[in-house]
Amino acid sequence: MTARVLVAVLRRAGSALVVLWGAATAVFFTMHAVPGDPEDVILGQELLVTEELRAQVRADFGLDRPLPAQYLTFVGNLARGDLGRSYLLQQPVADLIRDQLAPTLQLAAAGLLVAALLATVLAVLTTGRSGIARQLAVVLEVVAISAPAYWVGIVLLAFLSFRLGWFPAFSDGGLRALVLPALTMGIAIFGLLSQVLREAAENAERQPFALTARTRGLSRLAVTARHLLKHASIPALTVGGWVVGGVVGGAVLIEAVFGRPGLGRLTLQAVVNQDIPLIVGLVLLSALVFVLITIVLDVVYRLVDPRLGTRS
Amino acid sequence: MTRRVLRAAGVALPVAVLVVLALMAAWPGLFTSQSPLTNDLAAALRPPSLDHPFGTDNLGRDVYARTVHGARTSLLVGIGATAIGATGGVLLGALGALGPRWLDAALLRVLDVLLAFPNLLFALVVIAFFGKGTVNVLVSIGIAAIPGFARVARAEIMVVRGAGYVTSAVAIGSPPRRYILRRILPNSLTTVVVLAALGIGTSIIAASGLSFLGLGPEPPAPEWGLMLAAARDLLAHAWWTGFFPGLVLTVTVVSVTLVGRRLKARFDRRTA
Repeated sequence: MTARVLVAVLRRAGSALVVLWGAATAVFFTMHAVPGDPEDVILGQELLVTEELRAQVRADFGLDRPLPAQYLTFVGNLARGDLGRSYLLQQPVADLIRDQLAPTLQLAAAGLLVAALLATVLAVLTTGRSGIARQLAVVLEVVAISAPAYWVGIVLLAFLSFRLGWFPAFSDGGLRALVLPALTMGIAIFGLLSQVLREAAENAERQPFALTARTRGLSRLAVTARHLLKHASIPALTVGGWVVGGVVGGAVLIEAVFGRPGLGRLTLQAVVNQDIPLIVGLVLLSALVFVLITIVLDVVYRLVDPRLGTRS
Repeated sequence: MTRRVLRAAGVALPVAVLVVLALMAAWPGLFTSQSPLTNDLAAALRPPSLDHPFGTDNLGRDVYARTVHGARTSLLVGIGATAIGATGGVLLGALGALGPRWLDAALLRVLDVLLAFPNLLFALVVIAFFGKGTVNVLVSIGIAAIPGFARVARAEIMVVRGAGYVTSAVAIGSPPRRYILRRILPNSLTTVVVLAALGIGTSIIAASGLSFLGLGPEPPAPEWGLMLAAARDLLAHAWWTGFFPGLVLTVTVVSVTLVGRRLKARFDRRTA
Protein backbone atom coordinates (compact mmCIF):
# COMPACT_ATOMS: atom_id res chain seq x y z
CA MET A 1 0.00 0.00 0.00
CA THR A 2 2.61 2.54 1.05
CA ALA A 3 4.86 1.41 -1.79
CA ARG A 4 2.07 2.04 -4.22
CA VAL A 5 1.44 5.50 -2.83
CA LEU A 6 5.17 6.24 -3.05
CA VAL A 7 5.28 5.15 -6.69
CA ALA A 8 2.24 7.31 -7.44
CA VAL A 9 3.85 10.32 -5.78
CA LEU A 10 7.13 9.78 -7.62
CA ARG A 11 5.34 9.44 -10.92
CA ARG A 12 3.44 12.66 -10.23
CA ALA A 13 6.63 14.51 -9.34
CA GLY A 14 8.28 13.12 -12.47
CA SER A 15 5.59 14.32 -14.81
CA ALA A 16 5.53 17.66 -12.99
CA LEU A 17 9.25 18.07 -13.66
CA VAL A 18 8.70 17.21 -17.31
CA VAL A 19 6.03 19.91 -17.60
CA LEU A 20 8.29 22.49 -15.94
CA TRP A 21 11.31 21.56 -18.03
CA GLY A 22 9.28 21.52 -21.24
CA ALA A 23 7.81 24.95 -20.50
CA ALA A 24 11.20 26.43 -19.64
CA THR A 25 12.87 24.97 -22.72
CA ALA A 26 10.12 26.06 -25.11
CA VAL A 27 10.11 29.64 -23.87
CA PHE A 28 13.90 29.82 -23.72
CA PHE A 29 14.37 28.87 -27.34
CA THR A 30 11.41 30.82 -28.72
CA MET A 31 12.47 33.97 -26.95
CA HIS A 32 16.06 33.67 -28.08
CA ALA A 33 14.79 33.38 -31.65
CA VAL A 34 13.29 36.88 -31.38
CA PRO A 35 14.89 39.20 -33.89
CA GLY A 36 16.96 41.90 -32.22
CA ASP A 37 19.74 41.83 -29.68
CA PRO A 38 19.11 41.22 -25.99
CA GLU A 39 21.90 43.63 -25.11
CA ASP A 40 19.74 46.47 -26.47
CA VAL A 41 17.22 45.65 -23.76
CA ILE A 42 19.94 45.42 -21.14
CA LEU A 43 21.57 48.70 -22.16
CA GLY A 44 18.14 50.31 -22.47
CA GLN A 45 18.51 53.92 -21.39
CA GLU A 46 22.29 54.04 -21.77
CA LEU A 47 23.11 56.94 -24.07
CA LEU A 48 26.66 56.28 -25.15
CA VAL A 49 26.69 52.72 -26.39
CA THR A 50 30.10 51.76 -27.67
CA GLU A 51 31.02 48.44 -29.25
CA GLU A 52 33.17 47.76 -26.17
CA LEU A 53 30.26 48.27 -23.83
CA ARG A 54 28.10 45.95 -25.95
CA ALA A 55 30.78 43.28 -25.91
CA GLN A 56 31.15 43.63 -22.16
CA VAL A 57 27.41 43.30 -21.57
CA ARG A 58 27.25 40.28 -23.85
CA ALA A 59 30.05 38.68 -21.88
CA ASP A 60 28.44 39.62 -18.54
CA PHE A 61 25.18 37.92 -19.42
CA GLY A 62 26.83 35.03 -21.23
CA LEU A 63 25.27 36.10 -24.51
CA ASP A 64 28.55 35.75 -26.42
CA ARG A 65 28.45 31.98 -26.17
CA PRO A 66 26.56 29.71 -28.58
CA LEU A 67 22.88 29.19 -27.76
CA PRO A 68 23.18 25.49 -26.81
CA ALA A 69 25.87 26.41 -24.28
CA GLN A 70 23.67 29.19 -22.91
CA TYR A 71 20.83 26.69 -22.63
CA LEU A 72 22.94 24.21 -20.67
CA THR A 73 23.99 26.93 -18.23
CA PHE A 74 20.36 28.03 -17.96
CA VAL A 75 19.14 24.52 -17.15
CA GLY A 76 22.02 23.98 -14.73
CA ASN A 77 21.21 27.20 -12.89
CA LEU A 78 17.54 26.35 -12.95
CA ALA A 79 18.21 23.05 -11.21
CA ARG A 80 19.84 25.04 -8.42
CA GLY A 81 16.88 27.41 -8.25
CA ASP A 82 18.70 30.27 -9.98
CA LEU A 83 16.43 31.91 -12.56
CA GLY A 84 19.05 34.32 -13.87
CA ARG A 85 19.10 38.12 -13.94
CA SER A 86 16.47 40.40 -15.49
CA TYR A 87 17.77 42.28 -18.53
CA LEU A 88 15.79 45.39 -17.78
CA LEU A 89 15.95 45.64 -14.02
CA GLN A 90 19.35 44.00 -13.60
CA GLN A 91 18.18 42.09 -10.55
CA PRO A 92 17.83 38.36 -9.92
CA VAL A 93 14.53 37.18 -11.41
CA ALA A 94 13.75 35.12 -8.32
CA ASP A 95 13.99 38.24 -6.12
CA LEU A 96 11.75 40.25 -8.44
CA ILE A 97 9.11 37.53 -8.42
CA ARG A 98 9.31 37.11 -4.65
CA ASP A 99 8.84 40.84 -4.12
CA GLN A 100 5.72 40.98 -6.27
CA LEU A 101 4.19 37.73 -5.02
CA ALA A 102 2.39 39.12 -1.96
CA PRO A 103 0.07 41.70 -3.61
CA THR A 104 -1.00 39.21 -6.29
CA LEU A 105 -1.61 36.45 -3.75
CA GLN A 106 -3.68 38.89 -1.70
CA LEU A 107 -5.72 39.80 -4.76
CA ALA A 108 -6.17 36.17 -5.78
CA ALA A 109 -7.20 35.02 -2.31
CA ALA A 110 -9.68 37.87 -1.84
CA GLY A 111 -11.04 37.43 -5.37
CA LEU A 112 -11.56 33.70 -4.89
CA LEU A 113 -13.28 34.31 -1.58
CA VAL A 114 -15.71 36.76 -3.18
CA ALA A 115 -16.34 34.36 -6.06
CA ALA A 116 -16.92 31.38 -3.75
CA LEU A 117 -19.38 33.35 -1.63
CA LEU A 118 -21.34 34.69 -4.60
CA ALA A 119 -21.40 31.33 -6.35
CA THR A 120 -22.50 29.41 -3.25
CA VAL A 121 -25.32 31.80 -2.42
CA LEU A 122 -26.58 31.85 -6.00
CA ALA A 123 -26.33 28.08 -6.40
CA VAL A 124 -28.11 27.34 -3.12
CA LEU A 125 -30.93 29.71 -3.98
CA THR A 126 -31.49 28.39 -7.48
CA THR A 127 -30.73 24.65 -7.35
CA GLY A 128 -33.66 22.55 -8.56
CA ARG A 129 -35.83 25.57 -9.26
CA SER A 130 -37.30 26.93 -12.40
CA GLY A 131 -38.92 30.30 -12.97
CA ILE A 132 -37.91 33.91 -12.92
CA ALA A 133 -35.28 33.67 -10.16
CA ARG A 134 -33.51 30.90 -12.00
CA GLN A 135 -33.64 32.75 -15.32
CA LEU A 136 -32.24 35.85 -13.65
CA ALA A 137 -29.41 33.85 -12.10
CA VAL A 138 -28.53 32.32 -15.46
CA VAL A 139 -28.47 35.73 -17.15
CA LEU A 140 -26.34 37.11 -14.32
CA GLU A 141 -23.87 34.28 -14.72
CA VAL A 142 -23.55 34.67 -18.48
CA VAL A 143 -23.03 38.42 -18.13
CA ALA A 144 -20.45 37.91 -15.38
CA ILE A 145 -18.57 35.40 -17.51
CA SER A 146 -18.72 37.56 -20.62
CA ALA A 147 -18.06 41.01 -19.18
CA PRO A 148 -14.35 41.79 -19.51
CA ALA A 149 -12.75 42.28 -16.08
CA TYR A 150 -11.15 45.56 -17.13
CA TRP A 151 -14.56 47.01 -17.95
CA VAL A 152 -16.12 45.77 -14.70
CA GLY A 153 -13.18 47.33 -12.87
CA ILE A 154 -13.62 50.65 -14.67
CA VAL A 155 -17.36 50.75 -13.93
CA LEU A 156 -16.78 49.94 -10.25
CA LEU A 157 -14.09 52.61 -10.07
CA ALA A 158 -16.22 55.21 -11.83
CA PHE A 159 -19.19 54.83 -9.50
CA LEU A 160 -17.98 53.48 -6.16
CA SER A 161 -14.68 55.27 -6.12
CA PHE A 162 -14.86 58.50 -8.11
CA ARG A 163 -18.57 59.20 -7.72
CA LEU A 164 -19.23 58.01 -4.20
CA GLY A 165 -15.68 58.07 -2.87
CA TRP A 166 -16.08 54.85 -0.89
CA PHE A 167 -12.84 53.28 -2.02
CA PRO A 168 -9.45 54.65 -3.09
CA ALA A 169 -8.94 54.84 -6.85
CA PHE A 170 -5.34 53.71 -6.66
CA SER A 171 -3.76 51.04 -4.56
CA ASP A 172 -2.15 52.37 -1.40
CA GLY A 173 -1.50 48.89 -0.05
CA GLY A 174 -4.38 49.16 2.41
CA LEU A 175 -7.30 46.79 2.84
CA ARG A 176 -9.84 49.29 1.48
CA ALA A 177 -7.90 49.47 -1.74
CA LEU A 178 -8.24 45.70 -2.09
CA VAL A 179 -12.06 45.71 -2.09
CA LEU A 180 -12.71 46.79 -5.68
CA PRO A 181 -9.96 44.68 -7.31
CA ALA A 182 -11.16 41.65 -5.34
CA LEU A 183 -14.76 42.34 -6.33
CA THR A 184 -13.70 42.65 -9.97
CA MET A 185 -11.84 39.37 -9.88
CA GLY A 186 -14.67 37.72 -7.94
CA ILE A 187 -17.23 38.80 -10.54
CA ALA A 188 -15.03 37.49 -13.32
CA ILE A 189 -14.82 34.07 -11.66
CA PHE A 190 -18.11 33.43 -9.92
CA GLY A 191 -20.30 32.91 -13.00
CA LEU A 192 -18.54 29.78 -14.09
CA LEU A 193 -18.28 28.50 -10.53
CA SER A 194 -21.96 29.03 -9.88
CA GLN A 195 -22.99 27.23 -13.08
CA VAL A 196 -20.84 24.24 -12.23
CA LEU A 197 -22.05 24.14 -8.63
CA ARG A 198 -25.72 24.20 -9.59
CA GLU A 199 -25.39 21.62 -12.32
CA ALA A 200 -23.56 19.24 -9.99
CA ALA A 201 -26.02 19.91 -7.14
CA GLU A 202 -28.90 19.11 -9.45
CA ASN A 203 -27.24 15.87 -10.44
CA ALA A 204 -26.88 14.98 -6.77
CA GLU A 205 -30.51 15.88 -6.18
CA ARG A 206 -31.59 12.98 -8.37
CA GLN A 207 -29.90 10.51 -6.04
CA PRO A 208 -31.96 8.64 -3.44
CA PHE A 209 -30.35 10.29 -0.41
CA ALA A 210 -31.72 13.66 -1.49
CA LEU A 211 -35.25 12.29 -1.44
CA THR A 212 -34.59 10.65 1.92
CA ALA A 213 -33.47 13.97 3.36
CA ARG A 214 -36.61 15.62 2.02
CA THR A 215 -38.83 12.93 3.58
CA ARG A 216 -37.13 13.58 6.91
CA GLY A 217 -38.75 16.97 6.64
CA LEU A 218 -35.77 19.06 5.58
CA SER A 219 -36.65 21.99 3.40
CA ARG A 220 -35.36 22.13 -0.13
CA LEU A 221 -32.94 24.91 0.78
CA ALA A 222 -31.61 22.92 3.73
CA VAL A 223 -31.08 19.83 1.59
CA THR A 224 -29.12 21.88 -0.92
CA ALA A 225 -27.05 23.65 1.69
CA ARG A 226 -26.33 20.61 3.86
CA HIS A 227 -26.08 17.75 1.42
CA LEU A 228 -26.02 18.66 -2.23
CA LEU A 229 -23.31 21.31 -2.00
CA LYS A 230 -20.87 18.79 -0.64
CA HIS A 231 -21.48 16.58 -3.66
CA ALA A 232 -21.17 19.55 -5.95
CA SER A 233 -17.88 20.66 -4.46
CA ILE A 234 -15.73 18.24 -6.47
CA PRO A 235 -16.44 19.72 -9.92
CA ALA A 236 -16.43 23.18 -8.34
CA LEU A 237 -12.97 22.50 -6.93
CA THR A 238 -11.77 21.47 -10.37
CA VAL A 239 -13.00 24.72 -11.87
CA GLY A 240 -11.60 26.63 -8.89
CA GLY A 241 -8.20 25.04 -9.41
CA TRP A 242 -8.30 25.91 -13.07
CA VAL A 243 -9.15 29.48 -12.14
CA VAL A 244 -6.27 29.75 -9.68
CA GLY A 245 -3.99 28.47 -12.42
CA GLY A 246 -5.05 31.44 -14.51
CA VAL A 247 -4.52 34.00 -11.79
CA VAL A 248 -1.20 35.34 -13.09
CA GLY A 249 -2.77 35.92 -16.50
CA GLY A 250 -5.94 37.47 -15.08
CA ALA A 251 -3.97 39.60 -12.66
CA VAL A 252 -2.28 41.37 -15.58
CA LEU A 253 -5.53 43.12 -16.50
CA ILE A 254 -6.87 43.74 -13.01
CA GLU A 255 -3.57 45.11 -11.75
CA ALA A 256 -3.43 47.38 -14.78
CA VAL A 257 -6.93 48.75 -14.16
CA PHE A 258 -6.34 49.46 -10.49
CA GLY A 259 -2.70 50.47 -10.74
CA ARG A 260 -1.74 47.72 -8.30
CA PRO A 261 1.75 46.30 -8.04
CA GLY A 262 2.12 42.56 -8.48
CA LEU A 263 3.07 39.69 -10.75
CA GLY A 264 0.65 40.80 -13.46
CA ARG A 265 2.30 44.14 -13.77
CA LEU A 266 5.73 42.49 -13.72
CA THR A 267 4.57 40.20 -16.54
CA LEU A 268 3.40 43.11 -18.66
CA GLN A 269 6.69 44.91 -18.11
CA ALA A 270 8.64 41.79 -19.06
CA VAL A 271 6.58 41.26 -22.23
CA VAL A 272 6.76 44.86 -23.39
CA ASN A 273 10.53 44.95 -22.97
CA GLN A 274 11.27 41.43 -24.20
CA ASP A 275 13.04 40.74 -20.92
CA ILE A 276 13.75 37.08 -21.67
CA PRO A 277 14.92 35.83 -18.24
CA LEU A 278 11.97 37.50 -16.53
CA ILE A 279 9.47 36.06 -19.04
CA VAL A 280 10.96 32.59 -18.62
CA GLY A 281 10.80 32.95 -14.84
CA LEU A 282 7.15 34.03 -14.86
CA VAL A 283 6.14 31.26 -17.25
CA LEU A 284 7.88 28.77 -14.97
CA LEU A 285 6.05 30.21 -11.98
CA SER A 286 2.74 29.77 -13.77
CA ALA A 287 3.61 26.19 -14.70
CA LEU A 288 4.65 25.53 -11.11
CA VAL A 289 1.34 26.89 -9.82
CA PHE A 290 -0.51 24.63 -12.25
CA VAL A 291 1.48 21.57 -11.19
CA LEU A 292 1.01 22.33 -7.48
CA ILE A 293 -2.73 22.84 -7.92
CA THR A 294 -3.09 19.49 -9.66
CA ILE A 295 -1.35 17.80 -6.75
CA VAL A 296 -3.24 19.70 -4.05
CA LEU A 297 -6.58 19.04 -5.75
CA ASP A 298 -5.82 15.34 -5.85
CA VAL A 299 -5.43 15.34 -2.07
CA VAL A 300 -8.43 17.59 -1.46
CA TYR A 301 -10.68 15.41 -3.64
CA ARG A 302 -9.94 12.48 -1.35
CA LEU A 303 -10.63 14.54 1.76
CA VAL A 304 -13.97 15.75 0.41
CA ASP A 305 -15.03 12.42 -1.05
CA PRO A 306 -13.68 9.44 0.89
CA ARG A 307 -15.05 7.11 -1.81
CA LEU A 308 -12.19 8.17 -4.07
CA GLY A 309 -9.58 6.77 -1.68
CA THR A 310 -10.88 3.20 -1.81
CA ARG A 311 -10.43 0.96 -4.76
CA SER A 312 -13.34 -1.23 -5.62
CA MET B 1 -47.04 31.20 -23.40
CA THR B 2 -44.79 33.76 -21.70
CA ARG B 3 -42.16 31.10 -21.35
CA ARG B 4 -42.30 30.39 -25.03
CA VAL B 5 -41.97 34.08 -25.87
CA LEU B 6 -39.01 34.37 -23.49
CA ARG B 7 -37.40 31.33 -25.08
CA ALA B 8 -37.79 32.71 -28.57
CA ALA B 9 -36.47 36.10 -27.45
CA GLY B 10 -33.51 34.30 -25.89
CA VAL B 11 -32.38 33.32 -29.40
CA ALA B 12 -33.73 36.16 -31.50
CA LEU B 13 -32.25 38.94 -29.38
CA PRO B 14 -28.62 37.83 -29.46
CA VAL B 15 -28.90 37.00 -33.16
CA ALA B 16 -30.32 40.47 -33.83
CA VAL B 17 -27.48 42.04 -31.83
CA LEU B 18 -24.93 40.13 -33.87
CA VAL B 19 -26.57 41.17 -37.14
CA VAL B 20 -26.44 44.83 -36.06
CA LEU B 21 -22.79 44.44 -35.09
CA ALA B 22 -21.95 42.85 -38.42
CA LEU B 23 -23.61 45.79 -40.16
CA MET B 24 -21.63 48.21 -38.00
CA ALA B 25 -18.43 46.45 -38.94
CA ALA B 26 -19.27 46.46 -42.66
CA TRP B 27 -20.88 49.91 -43.02
CA PRO B 28 -20.27 52.09 -39.98
CA GLY B 29 -21.64 55.01 -42.01
CA LEU B 30 -25.13 53.49 -41.67
CA PHE B 31 -25.07 54.16 -37.94
CA THR B 32 -23.21 57.41 -37.59
CA SER B 33 -22.26 60.28 -39.83
CA GLN B 34 -19.63 61.55 -37.40
CA SER B 35 -15.97 60.80 -37.82
CA PRO B 36 -14.33 58.65 -35.14
CA LEU B 37 -11.09 60.60 -35.48
CA THR B 38 -11.97 64.29 -35.79
CA ASN B 39 -10.98 66.28 -32.71
CA ASP B 40 -13.17 69.08 -31.46
CA LEU B 41 -11.58 70.44 -28.33
CA ALA B 42 -14.42 72.92 -27.81
CA ALA B 43 -16.76 69.97 -27.27
CA ALA B 44 -14.44 67.89 -25.07
CA LEU B 45 -15.80 65.69 -22.26
CA ARG B 46 -19.49 66.39 -22.89
CA PRO B 47 -21.82 64.00 -21.09
CA PRO B 48 -24.26 61.92 -23.17
CA SER B 49 -26.81 64.05 -25.02
CA LEU B 50 -28.94 63.83 -28.16
CA ASP B 51 -26.03 65.07 -30.30
CA HIS B 52 -23.59 62.71 -28.67
CA PRO B 53 -25.51 59.70 -27.32
CA PHE B 54 -22.40 58.27 -25.63
CA GLY B 55 -20.84 61.68 -24.86
CA THR B 56 -17.47 62.94 -26.08
CA ASP B 57 -13.94 62.12 -24.98
CA ASN B 58 -11.09 64.39 -23.89
CA LEU B 59 -10.36 65.40 -27.49
CA GLY B 60 -14.01 66.07 -28.25
CA ARG B 61 -14.40 62.95 -30.39
CA ASP B 62 -17.84 61.37 -30.46
CA VAL B 63 -17.70 58.24 -28.29
CA TYR B 64 -20.68 56.71 -30.11
CA ALA B 65 -18.98 57.10 -33.50
CA ARG B 66 -15.77 55.63 -32.11
CA THR B 67 -17.68 52.71 -30.61
CA VAL B 68 -19.46 52.01 -33.92
CA HIS B 69 -16.20 52.14 -35.85
CA GLY B 70 -14.56 49.90 -33.27
CA ALA B 71 -16.86 46.99 -34.11
CA ARG B 72 -14.86 46.09 -37.21
CA THR B 73 -11.53 45.52 -35.45
CA SER B 74 -13.08 43.52 -32.63
CA LEU B 75 -15.17 41.27 -34.86
CA LEU B 76 -12.37 40.69 -37.37
CA VAL B 77 -9.83 39.91 -34.66
CA GLY B 78 -12.29 37.66 -32.82
CA ILE B 79 -13.18 35.68 -35.93
CA GLY B 80 -9.65 35.67 -37.35
CA ALA B 81 -8.05 34.47 -34.11
CA THR B 82 -10.65 31.74 -33.72
CA ALA B 83 -10.09 30.64 -37.33
CA ILE B 84 -6.35 30.31 -36.64
CA GLY B 85 -6.99 28.42 -33.42
CA ALA B 86 -9.56 26.05 -34.95
CA THR B 87 -7.58 25.37 -38.13
CA GLY B 88 -4.33 24.80 -36.28
CA GLY B 89 -6.13 22.72 -33.69
CA VAL B 90 -7.83 20.48 -36.25
CA LEU B 91 -4.57 19.96 -38.14
CA LEU B 92 -2.70 19.02 -34.97
CA GLY B 93 -5.59 16.91 -33.71
CA ALA B 94 -5.84 15.03 -37.01
CA LEU B 95 -2.10 14.49 -37.00
CA GLY B 96 -2.31 12.97 -33.54
CA ALA B 97 -5.42 10.89 -34.10
CA LEU B 98 -4.56 9.58 -37.57
CA GLY B 99 -0.76 9.69 -37.58
CA PRO B 100 1.72 7.23 -36.11
CA ARG B 101 1.37 6.41 -32.45
CA TRP B 102 4.69 7.96 -31.37
CA LEU B 103 3.62 11.25 -32.91
CA ASP B 104 0.34 11.12 -30.99
CA ALA B 105 2.16 10.44 -27.73
CA ALA B 106 4.59 13.31 -28.34
CA LEU B 107 1.74 15.63 -29.30
CA LEU B 108 -0.20 14.79 -26.15
CA ARG B 109 2.83 15.62 -24.04
CA VAL B 110 3.25 18.98 -25.75
CA LEU B 111 -0.45 19.75 -25.38
CA ASP B 112 -0.25 18.89 -21.68
CA VAL B 113 2.49 21.48 -21.25
CA LEU B 114 0.70 24.13 -23.32
CA LEU B 115 -2.67 23.61 -21.67
CA ALA B 116 -1.00 24.26 -18.32
CA PHE B 117 -0.83 27.95 -19.25
CA PRO B 118 -3.64 30.43 -18.93
CA ASN B 119 -4.57 31.64 -22.42
CA LEU B 120 -3.79 35.26 -21.72
CA LEU B 121 -0.29 34.45 -20.46
CA PHE B 122 0.30 32.29 -23.52
CA ALA B 123 -0.86 35.12 -25.79
CA LEU B 124 1.40 37.56 -23.90
CA VAL B 125 4.44 35.35 -24.47
CA VAL B 126 3.62 35.13 -28.19
CA ILE B 127 3.25 38.93 -28.28
CA ALA B 128 6.64 39.25 -26.61
CA PHE B 129 7.97 37.25 -29.53
CA PHE B 130 6.17 39.01 -32.40
CA GLY B 131 5.93 42.51 -30.92
CA LYS B 132 2.90 44.80 -30.57
CA GLY B 133 0.23 45.50 -33.15
CA THR B 134 -3.30 44.54 -34.18
CA VAL B 135 -2.26 41.69 -36.48
CA ASN B 136 0.12 40.34 -33.86
CA VAL B 137 -2.67 40.40 -31.27
CA LEU B 138 -4.86 38.40 -33.65
CA VAL B 139 -2.12 35.87 -34.34
CA SER B 140 -1.07 35.51 -30.71
CA ILE B 141 -4.62 34.89 -29.50
CA GLY B 142 -5.13 32.43 -32.34
CA ILE B 143 -1.98 30.53 -31.46
CA ALA B 144 -2.92 30.49 -27.78
CA ALA B 145 -6.26 28.90 -28.72
CA ILE B 146 -4.70 26.06 -30.75
CA PRO B 147 -4.04 23.60 -27.88
CA GLY B 148 -7.65 23.68 -26.67
CA PHE B 149 -9.00 23.05 -30.16
CA ALA B 150 -6.37 20.37 -30.82
CA ARG B 151 -7.40 18.38 -27.78
CA VAL B 152 -11.08 18.41 -28.69
CA ALA B 153 -10.45 17.72 -32.40
CA ARG B 154 -8.16 14.81 -31.57
CA ALA B 155 -10.74 13.21 -29.27
CA GLU B 156 -13.54 13.65 -31.82
CA ILE B 157 -11.50 12.28 -34.71
CA MET B 158 -10.53 9.28 -32.57
CA VAL B 159 -14.22 8.50 -32.00
CA VAL B 160 -15.21 8.88 -35.66
CA ARG B 161 -12.21 6.86 -36.82
CA GLY B 162 -13.66 3.84 -35.05
CA ALA B 163 -17.12 4.22 -36.59
CA GLY B 164 -18.51 1.50 -38.87
CA TYR B 165 -18.73 3.62 -41.98
CA VAL B 166 -15.03 4.46 -41.73
CA THR B 167 -14.07 0.83 -41.25
CA SER B 168 -16.12 -0.13 -44.29
CA ALA B 169 -14.57 2.67 -46.36
CA VAL B 170 -11.14 1.35 -45.41
CA ALA B 171 -12.27 -2.23 -46.15
CA ILE B 172 -13.43 -1.47 -49.68
CA GLY B 173 -10.03 0.03 -50.40
CA SER B 174 -10.82 3.72 -50.28
CA PRO B 175 -7.53 5.69 -50.24
CA PRO B 176 -6.72 7.43 -46.92
CA ARG B 177 -6.95 10.94 -48.33
CA ARG B 178 -10.45 10.18 -49.60
CA TYR B 179 -11.93 8.70 -46.42
CA ILE B 180 -10.21 11.25 -44.20
CA LEU B 181 -11.57 14.20 -46.18
CA ARG B 182 -14.98 12.73 -47.05
CA ARG B 183 -15.82 10.70 -44.00
CA ILE B 184 -13.74 11.47 -40.93
CA LEU B 185 -13.34 15.26 -41.00
CA PRO B 186 -16.94 16.23 -41.88
CA ASN B 187 -18.28 13.97 -39.16
CA SER B 188 -15.90 15.03 -36.42
CA LEU B 189 -15.89 18.77 -36.92
CA THR B 190 -19.31 19.66 -35.49
CA THR B 191 -17.92 19.92 -31.96
CA VAL B 192 -15.08 22.07 -33.21
CA VAL B 193 -17.52 24.40 -34.96
CA VAL B 194 -19.60 24.77 -31.80
CA LEU B 195 -16.47 25.37 -29.77
CA ALA B 196 -15.36 27.96 -32.33
CA ALA B 197 -18.66 29.84 -31.99
CA LEU B 198 -18.04 30.12 -28.26
CA GLY B 199 -14.36 30.86 -28.89
CA ILE B 200 -15.11 34.00 -30.89
CA GLY B 201 -16.45 35.63 -27.73
CA THR B 202 -13.39 34.68 -25.70
CA SER B 203 -11.10 35.90 -28.47
CA ILE B 204 -12.85 39.27 -28.63
CA ILE B 205 -12.39 39.76 -24.89
CA ALA B 206 -8.76 38.64 -25.03
CA ALA B 207 -8.01 40.91 -27.98
CA SER B 208 -9.48 44.02 -26.40
CA GLY B 209 -7.68 43.03 -23.20
CA LEU B 210 -4.35 43.08 -24.98
CA SER B 211 -5.26 46.40 -26.60
CA PHE B 212 -6.23 47.69 -23.17
CA LEU B 213 -2.70 46.83 -22.02
CA GLY B 214 -1.31 48.85 -24.92
CA LEU B 215 -0.17 45.86 -26.98
CA GLY B 216 -2.64 46.24 -29.86
CA PRO B 217 -3.43 49.10 -32.24
CA GLU B 218 -1.91 52.52 -31.63
CA PRO B 219 -4.04 55.51 -30.66
CA PRO B 220 -6.06 57.22 -32.08
CA ALA B 221 -7.51 54.04 -33.65
CA PRO B 222 -11.13 53.51 -32.57
CA GLU B 223 -10.75 50.18 -30.77
CA TRP B 224 -12.77 49.17 -27.71
CA GLY B 225 -9.87 48.04 -25.54
CA LEU B 226 -7.87 51.13 -26.40
CA MET B 227 -10.87 53.35 -25.64
CA LEU B 228 -11.24 51.69 -22.25
CA ALA B 229 -7.56 52.26 -21.49
CA ALA B 230 -7.92 55.96 -22.32
CA ALA B 231 -11.10 56.12 -20.27
CA ARG B 232 -9.28 54.76 -17.23
CA ASP B 233 -7.41 58.06 -16.97
CA LEU B 234 -10.56 60.12 -17.41
CA LEU B 235 -12.70 58.34 -14.81
CA ALA B 236 -12.62 61.24 -12.40
CA HIS B 237 -14.29 63.49 -15.00
CA ALA B 238 -16.11 61.38 -17.56
CA TRP B 239 -17.50 57.92 -16.76
CA TRP B 240 -19.18 57.69 -20.16
CA THR B 241 -15.97 57.43 -22.20
CA GLY B 242 -15.38 53.95 -20.81
CA PHE B 243 -18.84 52.83 -19.81
CA PHE B 244 -20.39 52.70 -23.29
CA PRO B 245 -17.63 51.02 -25.32
CA GLY B 246 -17.32 48.42 -22.55
CA LEU B 247 -21.08 47.92 -22.47
CA VAL B 248 -21.17 47.31 -26.23
CA LEU B 249 -18.20 44.94 -25.86
CA THR B 250 -20.00 43.04 -23.11
CA VAL B 251 -23.28 42.87 -25.04
CA THR B 252 -21.35 41.55 -28.05
CA VAL B 253 -19.66 38.82 -26.06
CA VAL B 254 -22.88 37.89 -24.22
CA SER B 255 -24.66 37.55 -27.59
CA VAL B 256 -21.91 35.40 -29.09
CA THR B 257 -21.91 33.24 -25.96
CA LEU B 258 -25.70 32.81 -25.97
CA VAL B 259 -25.80 31.84 -29.63
CA GLY B 260 -22.84 29.48 -29.13
CA ARG B 261 -24.56 27.86 -26.17
CA ARG B 262 -27.76 27.37 -28.07
CA LEU B 263 -25.81 25.70 -30.86
CA LYS B 264 -24.07 23.52 -28.29
CA ALA B 265 -27.32 22.52 -26.57
CA ARG B 266 -28.84 21.63 -29.90
CA PHE B 267 -25.83 19.57 -30.85
CA ASP B 268 -25.67 17.82 -27.47
CA ARG B 269 -29.34 16.87 -27.77
CA ARG B 270 -28.77 15.45 -31.21
CA THR B 271 -25.88 13.24 -30.11
CA ALA B 272 -27.47 12.16 -26.84
